[in-house]
Amino acid sequence: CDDTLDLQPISDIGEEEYYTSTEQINLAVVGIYNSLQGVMDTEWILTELRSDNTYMSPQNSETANIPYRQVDRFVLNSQNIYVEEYWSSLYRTVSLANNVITQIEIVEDEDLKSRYEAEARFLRAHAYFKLVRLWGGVFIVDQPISGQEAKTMDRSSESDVYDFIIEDLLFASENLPSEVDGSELGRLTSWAAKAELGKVYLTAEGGYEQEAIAQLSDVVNNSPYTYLSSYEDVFNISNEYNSEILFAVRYQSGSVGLGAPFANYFSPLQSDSYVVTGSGDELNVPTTSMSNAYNISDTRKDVSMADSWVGLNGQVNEFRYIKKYNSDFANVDDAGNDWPIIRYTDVMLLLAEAINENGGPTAEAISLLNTVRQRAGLTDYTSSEVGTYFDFKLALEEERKLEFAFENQRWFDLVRTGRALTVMNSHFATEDQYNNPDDPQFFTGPIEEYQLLLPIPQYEIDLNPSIAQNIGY
Amino acid sequence: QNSFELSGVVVSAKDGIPIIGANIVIAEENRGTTTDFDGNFSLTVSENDVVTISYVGFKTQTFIVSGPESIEVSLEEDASTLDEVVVVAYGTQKKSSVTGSVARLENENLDELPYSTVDQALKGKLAGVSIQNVSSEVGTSPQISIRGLTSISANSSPLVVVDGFPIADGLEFINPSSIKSVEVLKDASSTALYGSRGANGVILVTTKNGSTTPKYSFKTFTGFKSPYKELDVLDAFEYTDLLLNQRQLVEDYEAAQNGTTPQTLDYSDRERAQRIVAAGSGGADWTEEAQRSTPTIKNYQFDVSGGNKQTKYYISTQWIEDEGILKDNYNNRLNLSGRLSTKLSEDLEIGFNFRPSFNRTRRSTVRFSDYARSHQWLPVRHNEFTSELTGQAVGSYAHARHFNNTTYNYQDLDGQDQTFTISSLWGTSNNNPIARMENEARTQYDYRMVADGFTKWKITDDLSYRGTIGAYYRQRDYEIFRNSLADRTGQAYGLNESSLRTRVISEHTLNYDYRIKDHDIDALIGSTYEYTGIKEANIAGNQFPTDLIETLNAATVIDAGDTYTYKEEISLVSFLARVNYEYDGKYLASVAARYDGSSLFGPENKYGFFPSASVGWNVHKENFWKNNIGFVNQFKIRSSFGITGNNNIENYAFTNLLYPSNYSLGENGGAVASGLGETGATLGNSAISWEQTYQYDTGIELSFFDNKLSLIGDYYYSVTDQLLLQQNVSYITGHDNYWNNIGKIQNQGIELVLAASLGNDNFSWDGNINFSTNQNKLISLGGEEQFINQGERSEQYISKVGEEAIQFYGYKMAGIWQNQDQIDNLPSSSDDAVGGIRVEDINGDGIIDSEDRTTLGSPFPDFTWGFSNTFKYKGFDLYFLLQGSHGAEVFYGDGYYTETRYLQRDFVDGWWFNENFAATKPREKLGRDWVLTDYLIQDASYISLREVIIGYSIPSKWLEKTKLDKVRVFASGQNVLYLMSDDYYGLNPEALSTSSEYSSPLISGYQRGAYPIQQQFSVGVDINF
Repeated sequence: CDDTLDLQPISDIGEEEYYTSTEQINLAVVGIYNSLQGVMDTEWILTELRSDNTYMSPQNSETANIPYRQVDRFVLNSQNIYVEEYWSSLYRTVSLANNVITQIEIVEDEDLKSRYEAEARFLRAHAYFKLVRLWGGVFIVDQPISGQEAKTMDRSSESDVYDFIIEDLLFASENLPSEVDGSELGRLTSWAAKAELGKVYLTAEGGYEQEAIAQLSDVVNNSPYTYLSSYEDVFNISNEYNSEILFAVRYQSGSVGLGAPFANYFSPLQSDSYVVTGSGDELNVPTTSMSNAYNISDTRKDVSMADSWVGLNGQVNEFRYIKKYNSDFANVDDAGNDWPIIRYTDVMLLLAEAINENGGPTAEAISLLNTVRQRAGLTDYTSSEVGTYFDFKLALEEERKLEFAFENQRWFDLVRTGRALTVMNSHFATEDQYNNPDDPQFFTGPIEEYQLLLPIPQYEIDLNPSIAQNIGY
Repeated sequence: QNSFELSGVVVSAKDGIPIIGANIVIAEENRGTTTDFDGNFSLTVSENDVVTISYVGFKTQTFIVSGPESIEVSLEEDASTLDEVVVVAYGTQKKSSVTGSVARLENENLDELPYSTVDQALKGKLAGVSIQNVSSEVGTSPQISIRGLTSISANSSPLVVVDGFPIADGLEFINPSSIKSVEVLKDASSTALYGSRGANGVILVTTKNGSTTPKYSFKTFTGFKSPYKELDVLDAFEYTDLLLNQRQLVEDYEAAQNGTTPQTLDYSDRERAQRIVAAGSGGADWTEEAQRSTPTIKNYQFDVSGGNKQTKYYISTQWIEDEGILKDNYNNRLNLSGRLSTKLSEDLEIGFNFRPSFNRTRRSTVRFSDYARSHQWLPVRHNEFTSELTGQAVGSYAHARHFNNTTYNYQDLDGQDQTFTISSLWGTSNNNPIARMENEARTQYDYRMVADGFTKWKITDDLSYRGTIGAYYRQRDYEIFRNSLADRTGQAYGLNESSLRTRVISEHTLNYDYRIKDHDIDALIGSTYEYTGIKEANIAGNQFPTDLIETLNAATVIDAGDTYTYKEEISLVSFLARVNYEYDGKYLASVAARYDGSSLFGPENKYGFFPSASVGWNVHKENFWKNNIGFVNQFKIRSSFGITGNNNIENYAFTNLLYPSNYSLGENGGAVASGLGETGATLGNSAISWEQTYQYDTGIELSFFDNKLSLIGDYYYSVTDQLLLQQNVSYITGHDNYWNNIGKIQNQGIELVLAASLGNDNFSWDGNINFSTNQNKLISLGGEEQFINQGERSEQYISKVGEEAIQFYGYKMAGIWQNQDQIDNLPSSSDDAVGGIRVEDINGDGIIDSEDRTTLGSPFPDFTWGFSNTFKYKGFDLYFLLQGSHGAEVFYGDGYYTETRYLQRDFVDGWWFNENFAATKPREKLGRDWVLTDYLIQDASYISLREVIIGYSIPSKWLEKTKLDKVRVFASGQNVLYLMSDDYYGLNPEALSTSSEYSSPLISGYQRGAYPIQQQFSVGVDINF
């Protein structure tokens, strides 16, 4: 009978049977990259939508949008569905990386082995970097665990999580290749690891500015990456993964299951196909202040957003929308635009920031900032305008807002620089959206320190009541 | 005295079928004969002899011979007969010998109930069997469960066995007219031989067999339906007037406070625009637009039976056309079945059953409630007026977005001409629902076939063999075609889901039946093998060059993400044995066991052993009883204990599976790079094994006054251990859930059936009341205190040790926030706002947080009942069934939608609009999320007059000159009365969502988009010849 009853999966494969060859490990590595798309699906909600760059449109009457609105207006609780989804998508990446790391001994070729492990550890660190910034000290999981084991785990301290991230990224920066074949474009290089490490050093508590400068200036000075002369070209759908892109989440159009939904998420509601194929959901709308922040000569605005759209018979509809991720595609939620994670200009501005944090602006720091401005069609800052630590910090903050508009950087920038409460509370006080007297339900009051972190999903606490919730929730 | 030959035929009065082996006796002379295979007999008699004709199960008839004519004797069935034969696992048994809990239902009028499937017709008729019409969309099957929630694994539907052959979905396509009886095996001892397959109870369907003379039966009915209840929604004028009146009240109040003269307020621009469009276009009553004027159901069935002494056949055909209340919903079904059996010799019989079925169901594209929540100012199509306004073509579908940035002219209160432009009238991404309905088709085709054959070999007088081998085959094609007009994407889309399910079952049993003096032993051993193969194929495509070709060959692009094939297989190997012992018909005992091996479990855990035992005592056969308590003519006590197993989990849950996880790599746009990852929602658990239910049942069966009154009562108690539970798992594992053997659940309940039968030749009444209660309780959850689960709208369900297995969970509504003072002074949180729901501070700590969630009721009824009545007077008959369910609650999920909240009058009457006006209901979207509170949890109790049938049989003397044996006309009504709780806002208290999150056994009681209860009136005719 045993043969009769021993039926193995036909259309899937079980883990016991699977990990047996180098190529299978390679496929599992690609599987980790795939999970980045799931992360991006909800990342904008917990980062960009919470920042002063965008808001959740009140146009859209769907009750389904309540959870978005709760995030946008900082009235979310631990049962918010997107908090849960984003959390789970990040741990999905962690677990896929852990599977590869655990099975890595199967790879005999030492170079490939260290490369695959480095890719897995980079992507694991990348997920943890987001987790630690949004939730503080989280659970460090470094190998596959069972459901029972999960219940015995507890949250680690924030600094332990940073140590774990730094260890992974150091390994990655030492073991990733410095470049990849054209056919593998999109996989990680050691330069991406150094850039990410630089950002981690700059973010972590503990005076890592020197280390940050070392990593970031290595990338700026020694890597094959550079900035493109035109901002528009960076996002051009026919020029993807160009030399400015160190790391991006890749999407591909054409009904291959790898398309991006953001064009439809972000385009105006009821816009039929005048903006993108299949209309939009108007979920992540640039604020008035965002639109006004661009200088008239700034070439970045037209690439990143629009203030209106033209419909039937040339009718102009005054609805702002993000257009950075729009392109031509045939089916809903199937755009091909990559989502940039680390760009060369990001590394430049992070280096400038690290220098500033390490003793104020130097000529090099000001020059890095001005280079980014020149590319955008703006005039240079003089050293008298940005000569002090604080002036330079504010100038960098503003520049990063515009340079990386809608790339999910703004919230992390504000928190990293300790400016989130000031900027957000002034935003709530001035932006119409949050102060409509006719719609008191949309009033948004000042936020408090605790709201810089998200609540641990109630799902986890309901499973294990001994887990400590973040204070304030 | 003259002797002569008396010849005749003995038939059953009910169906005219000949009775084989009836005894014809002249008692005085102590001699007689029996009828042959055609019911014929002949006997030498003399005038004035007293002839007695008797047969088990029929009332004995006596007559005095008057002459040498040929006679026909119709025997009436005797309801009081004790030794009715009931069908049990792998055989039949005398009813008086049964020691398990078995409910039996004769066909009676199952086949004239105007339902498209048998399962619906069984509703309310059997104690302990819950049949819930979770959707009144036609072509969907009800949810069936026996004795509550014994398992919390994937599936709690019972096993259906048709003529000895297990068919998972048998009730969906067996022609009701071919059914002879339905038996339900409820306790562990009676289901033991089915092992794990019978863990949720077993429904045995026995179909009619052939007769020796050809019989034809034709039956047809036509029914007309209407919704029992419709939602009361506000039209554009009512809604805008309501808002204006509220503002005016506030204005008047404030003016009075300030001592000023109140202003006369006017509509806001948006309200005015809605009124202008409504007046100019006529708007649309969407639910009206979406419904058929008179949906009908038509049924035609034709049965033929016949044969001779060796060979018998029964052929049955049925064609049903069933229309749903929504215009796009219908179901057509063709059921065929053929039975053939032949005796090759005295000892050897073979037979063959063949049941093909074809079913086409058009599923409705848009949920019923989505029509109800559409604004009524919006017309279905543009007319001259709206065309002028929006620039859209006359006759094209109107969508809310067409009215964006539109300019309107009107006269204000002072008579001045005014013009205004408004950016949006209704910010929705929803499409005109009629456009969706008319341009998107979802059609499901089911092609089913069951073929099984058996061999019965009487090896010796005592020993016999029965072997069955059969195959079940179901091809299901689900096709969606959405043309370019259907929705905002303007893109045609096609999907073809195809699934093939095959099952091969082979069963062999040896039966030893030995009787010596008063000892009767019946033993059975056997083995079964069952293999299930499942294959799915999915193709999705888009960019059709034209709307005129709907198949996927025309798609320009095939969507790789949704195109795949998938295969899996499951096997089950079992050995079974049973011994029944009976002494003198008084003392009964039975022992049964089954040893099951299942491929669903990992290598170490495949086998399970499931024994059972039962005893019975026919007290009324004891002399002391017979002599003393004669009016109680039957009294049986029986008791059983047994263990059943359950392996109802998803396949391959014992391991982690890798799924395709591709990524785009390479220059320019990139190219697809293959990847694989353990991305499944389920985390593997190699320790997963059998779930076991220990069930105890004790019952009494009583009959009084020559069986005119009878009572069957059962009490059962069961504990399910090692529960197979798909349990949430921490996301830090990278997965969402895993299967675990965890915890215990207890069920106990009482079932009572009280039957009465009164009457004489002219008039009779048969009444039957059944009453069931079931209480479940979680005893343990493997060390956990509770599990909290979440539905699609974040509403929560809790499974808590010591309480019912599923309860709604969340904040308890205490009222509404009338003003800001209350929020400032009473326990609240940042979720709260004036006009919103105020909830109780359960733990009394002065703040509202997740610690204040509590249990909010359960989806399980306290008790259910059915009361059926049959009256007969001469040729007339009347049947009606009252049926009810009490104490269950549902989550009215439609109340989640903003539009429902402000358009459905139940929500609007008494809602908050200003702090100075006391209100009882929260306003649309202010404050706390409704779905996290008990505001939408409502009482789902109901009492229904479920069925009424009035029939008239044309007197047989009128038919004598025709070839017709019987003609009966009948009229029936379904849901003639349906009383719902006042507290319930929805359309169908029985409706439940059962897909996605709600297919989880720990989430139940949520309803969204429910179809109304259907009221139906039908007429039909039944002709036998």
